[in-house]
Amino acid sequence: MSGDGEKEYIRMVAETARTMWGEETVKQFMDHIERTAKAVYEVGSYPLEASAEPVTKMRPEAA
Amino acid sequence: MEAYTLSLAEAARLMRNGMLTPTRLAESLLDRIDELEPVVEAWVTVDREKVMEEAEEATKEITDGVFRSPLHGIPVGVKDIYYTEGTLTTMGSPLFAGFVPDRDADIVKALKRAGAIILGKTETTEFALHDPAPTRNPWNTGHTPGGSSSGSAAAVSCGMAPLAFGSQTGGSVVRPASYCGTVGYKCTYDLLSRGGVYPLSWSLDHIGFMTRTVEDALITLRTLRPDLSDGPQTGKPPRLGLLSGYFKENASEEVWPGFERAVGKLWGEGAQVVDVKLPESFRMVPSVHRVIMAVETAAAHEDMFRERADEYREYLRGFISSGLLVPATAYLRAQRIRGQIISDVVKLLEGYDCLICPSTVDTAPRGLQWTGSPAFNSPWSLTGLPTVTVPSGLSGEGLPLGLQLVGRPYDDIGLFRVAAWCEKTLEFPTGPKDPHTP
Repeated sequence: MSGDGEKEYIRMVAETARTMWGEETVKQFMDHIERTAKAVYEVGSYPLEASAEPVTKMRPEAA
Repeated sequence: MEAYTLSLAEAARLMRNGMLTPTRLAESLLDRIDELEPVVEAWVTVDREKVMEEAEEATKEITDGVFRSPLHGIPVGVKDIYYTEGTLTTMGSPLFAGFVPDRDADIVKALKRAGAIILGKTETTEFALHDPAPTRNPWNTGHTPGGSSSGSAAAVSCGMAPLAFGSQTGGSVVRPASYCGTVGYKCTYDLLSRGGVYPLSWSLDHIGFMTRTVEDALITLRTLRPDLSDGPQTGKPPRLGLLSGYFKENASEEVWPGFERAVGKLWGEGAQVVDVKLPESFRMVPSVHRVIMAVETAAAHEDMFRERADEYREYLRGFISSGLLVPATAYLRAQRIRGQIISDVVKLLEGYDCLICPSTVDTAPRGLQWTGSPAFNSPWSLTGLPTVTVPSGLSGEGLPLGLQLVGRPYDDIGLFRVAAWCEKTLEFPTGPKDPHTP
């Protein structure tokens, strides 16, 4: 994971948001957009085996 | 003694012995609300007439020898995101300003079956997320009570109700309970039904409640889930796994030393306290929690948001917007990492009665604009493990600190056993707090 990759990802998400909702909305919600995009990037960078299944029905004892 | 000062357990015992009636208890609590509500602002709705009618019915039943449960005749507060038939339910949002449900949430139904009286609806942040309620912290009215279950925590703290229900998706029960110096309980995921509670994030939402004693919380859980077994009881002081790392690094200057003082008392009374190292996957908790919650909140609100986005307050509007931008693969990846975190944390519990850490990052922040950080609670909402906060002392400013206990999945009763031992050892006063305005 590189800092540049994260920045580029956030930029792409903001660009998508701009296309959907316009500049004013993106400005207003940029903090949320950045924080969620940063979290998405971090999640995407975490190594996982293909066999790791998603939690679809929460059963904390069975995970 | 005024009836509002009684714990739930004390009130139930006196009612059973014919020394207290639901009518007298309800009157005392309603008077307390009348006296303190202008300062604390914990309630959205209190229907005095309806409460008194139900209290009189309960009084008649109990006088006739019908004692439905230890909650019979006990007035209970319910967060304003729980559906209550015939009673205004606003979700803390102008979008639901006049909404009166035609049915009860499952918990409300269960409470009514047990003979409890719904005292009223308590203040919540908008849709149980971030934008604050007007409620003030009884320990210092210049400070937030925490959120999102703001009204429930404040009401229990100052003796307006012996029991009040909330919900937790990040830290919305344990944090306000700790800030307000009450006991707070968040169940194992889905142990208590979320039916009829307005969703924020389906796979993270939990039912929880506040009381002033652990005994009261245990009585409540046993009434709602009489099928839960006791589990093994050793009668010995507990074996506690102490979580530092992330918690020590993020705790405020007052919180960590206060936590160490509390741990010192527990150790001094015979608890075994062992340092436990958090698993590597734990570092992913904040990101995984945010991705899941943003997407599920966006999905829960999608239809209404499309039509009425302008009626949402700013924080929630931004949060929903950010969730709409997350790719499906990222959401699923977050749920896959979540499975790893749950597995790693459940393994960590092997050999311990429970894990312990501070209940909150800080004491209740000054002002009402922000309800505080859920960073010490969201790991347990993400993993679905049961948690209890027990008041553990006061900060230099005179604000409550809390000890958070994290139990094994579905061993909520066992967790209460440890919490009761800690409560007895820590000796925090359990009476109602008269609001303090500096």
